[in-house]
Amino acid sequence: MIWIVDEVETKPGMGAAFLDAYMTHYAPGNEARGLKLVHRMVEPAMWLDDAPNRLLLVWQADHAGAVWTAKHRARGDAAVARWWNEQAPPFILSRRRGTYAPAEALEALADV
Amino acid sequence: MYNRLLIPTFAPGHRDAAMATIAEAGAAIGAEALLFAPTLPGVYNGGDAIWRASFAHRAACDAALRSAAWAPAAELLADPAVTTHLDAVGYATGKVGGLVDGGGLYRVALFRAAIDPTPERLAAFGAQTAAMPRAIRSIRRWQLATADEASGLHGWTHVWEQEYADRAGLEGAYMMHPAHWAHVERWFDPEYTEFLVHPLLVHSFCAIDRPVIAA
Repeated sequence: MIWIVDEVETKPGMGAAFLDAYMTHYAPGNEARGLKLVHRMVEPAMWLDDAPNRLLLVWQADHAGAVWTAKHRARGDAAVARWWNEQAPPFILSRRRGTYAPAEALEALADV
Repeated sequence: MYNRLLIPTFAPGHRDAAMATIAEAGAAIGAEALLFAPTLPGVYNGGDAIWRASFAHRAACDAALRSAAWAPAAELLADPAVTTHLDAVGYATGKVGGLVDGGGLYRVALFRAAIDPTPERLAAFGAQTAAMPRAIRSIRRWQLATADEASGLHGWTHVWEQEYADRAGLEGAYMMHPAHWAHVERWFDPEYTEFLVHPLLVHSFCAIDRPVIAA
């Protein structure tokens, strides 16, 4: 199992609005590219109206080939660029993306 | 060493004659090492052939490519009726490593690392890319160099070369190792904040019967 995680710090009071926009403008396309949204975590565990929220949006891929497939499909999709470059920034203070795997799977993943 | 790499695409009907002319001219310019081979099916912006010559230094390279011996090749490479596209880079020896051992497959990628290319980001990109061969066993020989002359689809900034025992080493282990898709790929993926390398790149490869990347 492989997880692609978007870690987003929203502007104060914009956490819920960001998640709504993410689910509307970005998530359906990522599902269509073969990834599954398995967690939508919010910290702290309440929407803040005067401070940033931090969200972890966790996408799951079954194997490395599925990661490549999703990447290649995203690069040809103008909606992806529009989301990250135009639609998301008004909600966001900072973000980062990471690709994770279970610690116990690392040896097998590297044995290629 | 100073290297000159040419990746031409020829007009239909001109390929064989052009290849013969370039082969003859290349053999006569005194390169210390020379590769000239047709590309294999599956390249991306990879041209019809890879021509790679190494010289002791840039002045020797420039002199060779201005010589009368090279003139017939230079003429057809500059003729759009014969050569419909040409990517070209010149680069001194960069970060290099691995075994000089046997033939197999030579692969080269040309990158343009031009999206917010701060020195810190370029250094991190270079370090992570050059570390890939430590993790990916199928990379037998490699070099990561910065281009100081470049033309074609872009003003290329980086030349990433590898040698493999066979094509499976490139399309299997290199592509499927997490050092690639989970780590270095961050510099190529527009969805990562580290995004650095323009998506339009050259990915080309050819068969080799002896090592190509010199020290």
